[in-house]
Amino acid sequence: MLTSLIKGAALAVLISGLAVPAFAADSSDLAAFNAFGGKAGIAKVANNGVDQVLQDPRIKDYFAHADIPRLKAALAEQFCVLLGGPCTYSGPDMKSAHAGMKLRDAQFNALAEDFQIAMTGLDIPFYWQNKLVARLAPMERDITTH
Amino acid sequence: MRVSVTLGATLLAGLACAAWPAAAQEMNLFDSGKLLATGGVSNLEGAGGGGISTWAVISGYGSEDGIGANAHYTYTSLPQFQVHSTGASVGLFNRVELSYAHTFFDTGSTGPKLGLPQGFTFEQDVIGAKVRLFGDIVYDQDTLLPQVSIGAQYKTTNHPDILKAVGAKAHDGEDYYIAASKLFLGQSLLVNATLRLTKANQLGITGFGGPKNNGYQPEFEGSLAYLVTRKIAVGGEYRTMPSNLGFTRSDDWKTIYAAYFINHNASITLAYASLGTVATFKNQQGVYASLQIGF
Repeated sequence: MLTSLIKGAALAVLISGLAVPAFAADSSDLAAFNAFGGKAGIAKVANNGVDQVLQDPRIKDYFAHADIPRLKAALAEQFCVLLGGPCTYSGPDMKSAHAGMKLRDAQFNALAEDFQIAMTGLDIPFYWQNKLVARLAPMERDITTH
Repeated sequence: MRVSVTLGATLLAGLACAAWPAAAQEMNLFDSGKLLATGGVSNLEGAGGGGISTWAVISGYGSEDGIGANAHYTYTSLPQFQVHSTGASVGLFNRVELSYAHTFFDTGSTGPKLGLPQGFTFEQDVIGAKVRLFGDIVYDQDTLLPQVSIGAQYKTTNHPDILKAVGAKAHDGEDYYIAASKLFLGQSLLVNATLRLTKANQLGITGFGGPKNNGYQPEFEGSLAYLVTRKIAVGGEYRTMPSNLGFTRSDDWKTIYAAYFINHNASITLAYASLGTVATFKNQQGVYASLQIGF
């Protein structure tokens, strides 16, 4: 019980973690940000993506005790930053946020897939989806434990 | 006594059936934990890749903690020949790939023109192993480092007497290759390059080595894939091969293809393949269709 609580909370913090600034988009290029429909569109992605995750038997248990509204808001901020939008994110870094969770690639990929499904459902062109996924992908090293 | 043995065996089998999937699920051994399409498809030689090219990916959808597997059937229709390829591959922990392919090269009504009986068919077995050395096709988006694998294949073709008669030095042989795959996810583009040491005449269907050359030669396989959606990729491939035989030349092979990944369990690949001269017959171009089932 306590373990799953900690897991849920930690994962919530983890996926809303701060991107490594070096991989963030050039803020002068708003093409990706705009392709997502700006802040409102990105908020929908965060919302629907998390909803997709919560229905995914592969990983939903990690979120059993997560603060879902807070998680969605934090993710929206993070994605906005990664897409070069005018946002700031003030969460913990990925590595410390996921310390001790022992997440593996299968869980990381399951979450990525859920967000791909959500973005497709929101009619975000795959090409632009990949801009976001490309900036999230290197976080695998900090999020998972090997 | 016999009854109890039979009963025991039945019970064991029943237990195994009941326990195995549950155990597998608990361990997530068959986790299909990779992203869709990132295991590639099974190529003509059974290896994970495209249609005629070999990629650095490990076949199947097993993650670092899982085992993936595939079975494939591929049909290629050429003006003078028909090629059927069946096979299976296993991916172990996204590290090792073991593959087997059996190819039927049917000369059909062309057989008699080559001095062979009507419907004469060459058959080839390919046993392959591939090991991922370093790099990750998905995660390494912040570096130019590709995913790199090395592999070896043992190929043996039947009718060694006929192969010898047309000049091949051997009916079997080994290939060795190093493959690099780089996914430029921000551009939705997958690039593959493979260097292969081989003596094989057109994959080995017409034997290995010949009067012009009987040594290992470096050959190149390159391919591009553009990711249209999560489930659809389109692209092209190019593969060079040695021209060892005297009675016929070998040309470079090319394809353009589209692959549809229905889900983690099935994919379909359609291609237009241009194989140049095959056993003296020029302009062997045709349709390539492949079905793959796995996890």
